[in-house]
Amino acid sequence: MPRWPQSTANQPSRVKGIQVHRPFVYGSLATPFPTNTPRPSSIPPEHTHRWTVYLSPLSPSHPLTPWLKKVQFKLHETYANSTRMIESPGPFEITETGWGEFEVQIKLFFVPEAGEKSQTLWHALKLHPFGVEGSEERLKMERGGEVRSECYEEVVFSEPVEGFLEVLTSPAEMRGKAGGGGKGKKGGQMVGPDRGAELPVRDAPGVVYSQEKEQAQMVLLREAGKTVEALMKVEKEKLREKEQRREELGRDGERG
Amino acid sequence: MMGSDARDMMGLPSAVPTPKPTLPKAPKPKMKGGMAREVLDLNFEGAPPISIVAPKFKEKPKIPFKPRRWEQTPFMNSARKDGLVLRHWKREGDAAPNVAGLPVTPADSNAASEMDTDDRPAANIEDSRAAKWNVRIDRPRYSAEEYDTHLKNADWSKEETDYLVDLAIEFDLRWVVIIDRYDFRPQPKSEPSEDAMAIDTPTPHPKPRTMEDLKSRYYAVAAKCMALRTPLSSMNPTEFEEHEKMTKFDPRKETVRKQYVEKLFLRTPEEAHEEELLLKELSRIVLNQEKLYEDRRALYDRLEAPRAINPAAAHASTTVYQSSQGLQQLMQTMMQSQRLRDAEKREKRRSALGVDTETANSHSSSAADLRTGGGGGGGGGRSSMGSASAGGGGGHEKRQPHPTPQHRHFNQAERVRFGISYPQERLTSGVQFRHERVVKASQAKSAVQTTRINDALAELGIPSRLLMPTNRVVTEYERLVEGVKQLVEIRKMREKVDGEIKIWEAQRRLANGDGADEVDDQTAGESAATNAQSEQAKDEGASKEAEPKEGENGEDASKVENKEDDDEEEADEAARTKAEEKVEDEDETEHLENSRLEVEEDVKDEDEDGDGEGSNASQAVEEEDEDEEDDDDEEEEGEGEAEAEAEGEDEEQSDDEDDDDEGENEDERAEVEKDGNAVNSSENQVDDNNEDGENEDPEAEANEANEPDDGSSTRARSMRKRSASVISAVSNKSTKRQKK
Repeated sequence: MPRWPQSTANQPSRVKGIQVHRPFVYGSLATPFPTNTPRPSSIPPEHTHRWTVYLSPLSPSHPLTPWLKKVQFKLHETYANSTRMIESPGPFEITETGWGEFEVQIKLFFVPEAGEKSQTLWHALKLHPFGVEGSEERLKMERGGEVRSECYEEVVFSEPVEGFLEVLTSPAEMRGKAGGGGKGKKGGQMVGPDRGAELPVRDAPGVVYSQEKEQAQMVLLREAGKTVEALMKVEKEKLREKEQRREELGRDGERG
Repeated sequence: MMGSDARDMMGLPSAVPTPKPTLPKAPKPKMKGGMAREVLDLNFEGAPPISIVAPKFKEKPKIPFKPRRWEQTPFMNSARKDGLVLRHWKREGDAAPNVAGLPVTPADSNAASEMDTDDRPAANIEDSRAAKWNVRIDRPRYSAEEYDTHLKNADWSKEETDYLVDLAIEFDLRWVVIIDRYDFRPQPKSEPSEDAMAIDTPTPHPKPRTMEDLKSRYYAVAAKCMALRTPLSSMNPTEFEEHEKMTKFDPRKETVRKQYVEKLFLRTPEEAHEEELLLKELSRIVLNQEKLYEDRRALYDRLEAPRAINPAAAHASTTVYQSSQGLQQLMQTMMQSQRLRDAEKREKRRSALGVDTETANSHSSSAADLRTGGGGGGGGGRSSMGSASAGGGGGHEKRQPHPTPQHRHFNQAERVRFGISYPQERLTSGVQFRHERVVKASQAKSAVQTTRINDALAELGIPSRLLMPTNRVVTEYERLVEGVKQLVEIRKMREKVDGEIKIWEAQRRLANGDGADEVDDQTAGESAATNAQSEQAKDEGASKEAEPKEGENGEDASKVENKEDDDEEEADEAARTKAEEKVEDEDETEHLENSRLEVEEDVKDEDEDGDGEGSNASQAVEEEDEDEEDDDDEEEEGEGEAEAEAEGEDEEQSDDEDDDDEGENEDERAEVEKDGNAVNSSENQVDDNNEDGENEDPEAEANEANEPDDGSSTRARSMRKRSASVISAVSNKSTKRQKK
């Protein structure tokens, strides 16, 4: 029996057919211990790197607090207290020392308004330069000694709960205020510090993920698509030829 | 008169103990069931027997141990600083184990060692059992520069922090006591010289501190010190837990909690009572809610139902309203339309009056307003319903809340800003990460396909982890992967056709280059057939004219032709190629079979040719097989020695193929059955051929022994089986051909 709408008062209803996403980045940054300087005695001698695994907002204007409650990092079991929980406002990062690469489990817990279950990400911790041998990124890593492995990711809330949608779609300056205060005039669509999901327009120092990059990605993919199309044409031609040949052979075989 | 009497009179105590009346007390009449015996006698005949219970003393309890002496043992309390030694009673044997078994906390032992080094004569003085409760906390220690680097706080001076820590340690973190004793008087910073006094520098006022302030400051300092002494990673779990607890302390939460508790505490009995009542009421409402909705729904259903019936249709056929139920409906329809008209009138009047400020309000583009007014704005459409449900009683002021709160619509700028999209496809509510779509896109239905796609993508320079998996990028990516999938599909197809072409070519080589062998095969087949026939003739005593032609028809070309004829109509490429492959296999085995038959005919020199041929064909088949394996993606590619393996693979496939062959046989049999009279003969033939195969068994095996790879009995069997089926197929074909 379909529920009568009012009865959903105690059970938050989802807004159908809508998707809201928020960008964030996660990754790791590793630096080897300098060989010449002595290091603190508290660090075991076999440890070669100091690394930080983090989950961070894209920029200060993309805060995570509206949707993220806490983050749990699960390190390798050999670490003491391998499960570390970090509550909302704080920088979601763990700094440790070690010698080995492993997969870090990053579990995201969402704010209670969202009414969503926690989600898990996996990040392969990188201590040593990676990538194609001789590529620019790799060389940079080898030179600088700093190894950063970072992923851009978007969390997608499909059909969010009403209340949560409101939280996600009300600008920061309105949020928290008692309703009605921030009506203002029509032209009052000023961009507050919270940019929500909007990406910065172009690359800048400190801005890695921008619409420009996105566009570049699109171009890359489109180019690849064109290549594929061209290849497909060739292949189709070939296929037709081959089929013809087969027909011929088949007919020959019949005759013989 | 006796002396005692005189004493008695005088009121003096008797000098000699008066002889007690030693007479034993007369035994009281026994009661039974609370009744006197006499009374019982009235009810029951004869008195019940009096049970004589001998008076008995309680048995001595048996104790499993020997009684031990108690002795006064000295003890001391390590929590005391004066080293006072007291004594208490203790069992003789208890003392020793207790000293050993008592868990001595490090704090105890420290304290003990600190104070009792000299005035404690020996370690055998036992520590008090209560001493372990005297837990001392480690004082958070910090140097001046550590304070400057890590612990600085605008609100707290170093002096005050020191004072706080001192107090906290002194009172063992008993915060109630600490807050009571907390009386920090900040010293004026400059040295109190004469001049300064003259200027009269105002001494800084002590800041008012709450218990939460103190707690949070102390915990922050303690946690920081702890982390400084032992880094987070090398803490043991208990330390870590403690550290966590201290860092997680939230003074605001604590204050709020206390406020709540206080409020709860300060409730008057009336308020408490009221609250209880309200809670009961609430639970009642919640319980009844379902029923209420049900009722309301039913009401709405009833109101809505007549609408569904088209009035025009009702006019067209009055038969609907023949029954009493129908009449009821008709009445309701009419009432409904009446109400609707009324409602419309009312609506018009109202809009004329211009009272619908609410709707006007909702048109203003403020987001917050839209949210609250959304219900009101959308409610207009259903207001007629609402008033109808109100019974047309003119109660339109209280508007029906909109059942589905229409959500605000976002314009383009807002969509971009808040990352909102309205995807076309069906959504599953929940949370995903965007990159999951990328992973899903590049996954094909089989592992090999997936690796192929990934290889292709890598070749195109697309990394497996996209740099920025945004919505648009992922959509583009999906499109690309779709293209790649198609490409891979086409390639697969081409490879298949390639394989086919190879087979055809190989076959043509056979047909052209090895014509002589073909002839021999023919003759061999013929002879086999005649052999079979003769045997059959022996068995059944019936001659079949069809037989001699069987061998000829068993040839590749004619057979394939047949097959081709059948299949050419089929548009489906895949089905066709498969069928052809099968034919190919059959042909190949036929060759082998033929060669074997040749051996039977003692044509030894022909044997090698036959085998060579067979292997030739089998090689082609092997390629084919590999192709097929690629396509199927299920089997691992097991390549090995060319010829032997080819045959081995044949064997592997023989099971499936037997099935296939059988199916084919059946098909063909069906075809033959159409022909009618040929059925019996062909059936017989099949049987006979099988028998032939059986008979030839030793020979065939002997032949296989000659071959480079040793033929196991299983293989021989499978071969035989196949040969039988092939022959049967051939014979079927032959009969068909005959019919033609």
